Amino acid sequence: MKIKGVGLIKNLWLDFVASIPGGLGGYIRYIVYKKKFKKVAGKFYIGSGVTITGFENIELGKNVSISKNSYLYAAYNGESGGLIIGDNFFMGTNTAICANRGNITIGNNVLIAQNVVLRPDNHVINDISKPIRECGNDVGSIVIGDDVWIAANCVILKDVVLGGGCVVAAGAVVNKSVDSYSVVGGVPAKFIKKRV
Amino acid sequence: MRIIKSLIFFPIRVFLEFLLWILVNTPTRFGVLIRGLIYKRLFKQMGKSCYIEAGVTILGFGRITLGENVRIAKNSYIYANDNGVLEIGNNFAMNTNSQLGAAGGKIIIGNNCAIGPNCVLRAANHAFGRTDIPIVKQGHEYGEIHIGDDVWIASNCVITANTKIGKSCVIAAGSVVTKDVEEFSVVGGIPAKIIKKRV
Repeated sequence: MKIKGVGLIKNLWLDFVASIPGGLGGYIRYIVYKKKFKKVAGKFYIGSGVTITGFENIELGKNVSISKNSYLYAAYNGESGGLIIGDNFFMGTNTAICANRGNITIGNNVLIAQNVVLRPDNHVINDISKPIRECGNDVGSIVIGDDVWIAANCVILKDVVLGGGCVVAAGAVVNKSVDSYSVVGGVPAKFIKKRV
Repeated sequence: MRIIKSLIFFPIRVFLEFLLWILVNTPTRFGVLIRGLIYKRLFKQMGKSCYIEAGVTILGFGRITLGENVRIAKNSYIYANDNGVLEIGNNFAMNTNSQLGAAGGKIIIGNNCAIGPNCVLRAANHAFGRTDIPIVKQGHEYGEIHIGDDVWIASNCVITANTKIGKSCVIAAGSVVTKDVEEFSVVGGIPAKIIKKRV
C-alpha cells in the first residue's frame, strides 16, 4: 500500500515537471530528465506537455529539441524496445515516436515535422477467430539515417530503413525502405526524384 | 554586469511566461472572455466576437490580423514570428491541433473559411538543394499561402508554401496541396488532384 502511494506521488511530480511552461520549464526538465534517461550526450530541450514513458530505454545525442505536446514512448513489457536519437535532432508538435515494442534508431541531423507517427509494430490481422486487439503485435524496427527530413503528417511503418539524406514529402505513408538521397511521397510512398 | 542583468531579468521573464501560461490555459467561457480582452491589445487587429479556446499557442502577436467572429479550437498553433505575416478574414473556424505556420512567410485567409482538425499550413520549406551539408544547416525557403473566400479544408490536410487556393474550394481529407487550386473545385489525394467542379 505504501509503495503504491510513493508511485502515485512520483507520477504526480513527473506530470508537474512535464507541464511547467516556458524557458524555466525547459531548464527544469533538462535537470530532472538528465538523470532518468539511459544516456545523454549533451544539452537538450523538451517543451511542455511532452509525454515520455520508459526513460531508461531512451538515448539522446547532443542538441536535441522536442516540441510541445509530442510523445516519446519507450516503455516495453518483455520484448526488446529502445529509442536512440542522434545529434542535432528536431521534432515538431504532436509527433509520436512509439518505440514501446520495436526499436527505433535515429541518426544525426534529422528533422521531423508536426503530426508524424513512427510505429515499428503492427497488429496481427491474419486470425479472424479472435478480435484484433487480442491477436498481439507483429514487432519490427525503424532505422532513420543521417540528414533526413520527414515533413508534416507522415506515417513511418514497421521495418522501414530511411537511407541517409532522404526527404519524405508531406502526408506520405512509408511502408518500404527508402534509398539514400531520394525524395519520396504519397500513400504508399513512391520515389519522386533524387536529390542529386 | 551580465550576471546581475540576468539575475534581474530571468525572474521577470519567468513571471511573464507564467502569466501568459495562465492566460493561454484558462478553461471555460471565462477564459475565452479574458483572452478576448487581452489579446485585443496584443494582436495587430482583432475583430468582434472572436473565440479562442484554451491551450492555443500563439507566437508573433503583433503580426497577426483577425477579422470578426474567428473561432480557434483547443491546442492549435498560430505562428507569425520571424517577420511572418498572418491575415485571417471574417467568420473563420479552425479545429483542434491545426497549425497556421506563417513564421518567416505569409499566410492570407479570406472570409468564411473552415479548417478541420490536424491540418498543417506552412509557409516555408526546408532547403535541400545541397548534399554536402545537412538539411538542418541549409535554412528555409520562405513562401506565401493565399486562401480565397468560402474554402473548406477537411481534416489531416497539409498545404505547402507558394500555393494559392481559389474561391469556394473544397480540399478533401488527408490531401496534400502542393500546387495552385482553381476556384469552385474539389481536390483530394497526395499530391492533391482535381476530383470535380462544384458547379
